[in-house]
Amino acid sequence: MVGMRLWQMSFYGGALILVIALIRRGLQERIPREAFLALWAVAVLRLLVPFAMCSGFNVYAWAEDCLLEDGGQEEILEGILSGLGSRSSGEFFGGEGNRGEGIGVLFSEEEGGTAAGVPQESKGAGLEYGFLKMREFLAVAGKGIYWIGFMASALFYLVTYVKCWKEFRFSLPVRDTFVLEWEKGLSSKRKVSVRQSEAVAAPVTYGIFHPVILLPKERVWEDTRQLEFALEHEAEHIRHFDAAKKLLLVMAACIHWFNPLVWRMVALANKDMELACDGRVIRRYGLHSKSAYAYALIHMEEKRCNWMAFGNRFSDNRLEERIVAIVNMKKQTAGAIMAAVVMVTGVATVFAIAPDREEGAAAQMDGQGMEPASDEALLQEWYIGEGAEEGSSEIQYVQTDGEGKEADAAASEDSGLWENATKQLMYNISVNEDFADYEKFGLSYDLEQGWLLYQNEKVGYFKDKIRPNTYRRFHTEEGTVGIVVARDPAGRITGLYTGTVQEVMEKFAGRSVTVGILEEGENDGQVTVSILEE
Amino acid sequence: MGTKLFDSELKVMGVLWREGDATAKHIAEVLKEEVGWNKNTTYTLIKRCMKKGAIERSEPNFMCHALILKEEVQEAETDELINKVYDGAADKLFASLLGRKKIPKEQIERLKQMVKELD
Repeated sequence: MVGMRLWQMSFYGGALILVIALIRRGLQERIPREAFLALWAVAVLRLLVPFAMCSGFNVYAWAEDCLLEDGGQEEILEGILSGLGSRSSGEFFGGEGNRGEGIGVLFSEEEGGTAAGVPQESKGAGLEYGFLKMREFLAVAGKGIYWIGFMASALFYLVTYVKCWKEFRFSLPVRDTFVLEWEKGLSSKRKVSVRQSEAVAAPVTYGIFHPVILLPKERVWEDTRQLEFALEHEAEHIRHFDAAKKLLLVMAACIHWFNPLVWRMVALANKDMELACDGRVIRRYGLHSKSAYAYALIHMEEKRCNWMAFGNRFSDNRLEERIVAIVNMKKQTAGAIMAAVVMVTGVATVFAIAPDREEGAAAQMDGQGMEPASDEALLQEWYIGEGAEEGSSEIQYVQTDGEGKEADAAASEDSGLWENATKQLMYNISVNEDFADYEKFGLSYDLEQGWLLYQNEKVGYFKDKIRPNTYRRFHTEEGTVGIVVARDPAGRITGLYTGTVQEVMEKFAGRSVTVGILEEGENDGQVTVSILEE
Repeated sequence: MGTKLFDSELKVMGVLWREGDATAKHIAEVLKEEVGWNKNTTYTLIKRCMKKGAIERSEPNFMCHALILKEEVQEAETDELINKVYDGAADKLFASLLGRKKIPKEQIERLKQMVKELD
């Protein structure tokens, strides 16, 4: 599981909405309407749940990789947040507080985003302080704007809800014998009451736990058959908890008010709920009843438009869309249902998986399968995508083919293999030509133990961002020292951030944080470090 | 011009016309039985009727007296009420069989034609 930030949720949710909208446009009546409802449910979950399953490959990472192929995005996105820290205590000042997962991380977006384009060469303390202040200011302003937008949308719906509820409660019971009979025959765990209200022009359903069908005061139906259709349509809403679904949709819209795609989803999903209810009623009465049903809808609309004195006549495509859908309704074939199931499962799996930015590039597959820890010539380096839970079996090994291009990844399920792989990785690091760079800072490789050592202690956690999206990283229970390699913006190693495995992992594991150690202090040998947050 | 009342308000008046002057509490009890309203719903409606000049109240016990006769009452236009309720985003919150907008006759005829061709 990986915590997600609001902007990530919104972005990935938006991408999913776009795909669903396209599928919807392409397939329409060809597959059951319920399939779209299921897809919208996936999108709503993606928008509302700040956690997601982790995976090495997913469509978002792939898309990001395509968009940002040059790998330069790190420089663009990377904000500089500098602070002073003492190497011995391992404490960092000026860095951002621990980022919890979940709601607490929702606003990191502004912080990361606003620092875009800050030239990394600007190491002047004054300038950096200026950037820091600016970032702080923009972060606060961004949060403020977000909350204003959120409150405004939420208030808008709350006011509408209260206004409606206030009028709806004055409704009167319906005395119509047909309605009473129908009410009695209804099988539902919740008691459904049918009432009559002057506040509605067409049948309306409200209430989740005590659902109420409100009929308009005016008779808009020609005969009991039409009334029955109307009641059955509303009953379908109740059976499928559409009131609750609508509430979730509105919640998503309020939280993601800045995302027009989310508003689009609300409109489309509402439409699909109506169409699904139409479909269910017609299928229950038999496909032959579709013309009667469609006619009932048109007739009610006509009646309603006639007795409503005020209001201009607008062309409303919603009714037209429904009539077209009803007219085009076909018998559901097993093939269509199968196709729907496959499509929903496919889209849900591809999109529900957690996107992981840094893993993105590393996890891209180019089809070259690979045997772990076997061929040394092939196995120059192992890169491990950052962000996956450390030590979990989901961590992916990614190997380069020598040109810095990532090759296929093979996940290790077996902890024994994992241990070997870590050792192999340490060996690989030690024979790499840039190992001398590490050695300058006190890292060595002990051939006998087959282990990386730092000041004669075994390394248990190691993380080095050798270039954007590419990490050299391992974690093993056996070692005691935790090391994060610091590099300046040009990629030169400037120092090692060290501490106990636990200390270092608390700061760096699973987070998109790199450390840049810049210079040795003059007097006490302390090291000035700057954290580069992404 | 008589006083314009909604059906809900007429229910309250109905109790007074039928039973003569009554306390708010009594009206609430009768209507709870009859239409299932809770006490506050009835009280709100009594206040609305007072505002419209249909009910006069006196102490003690919030005694209500009908100021208008049954014959004087006109049905209130419900359009305003409907628009009030539906001008927001009610269809996003509640399931509604049909939209709020009025549809041009030509569009309705066209749709009817479409359905007719089905048969």
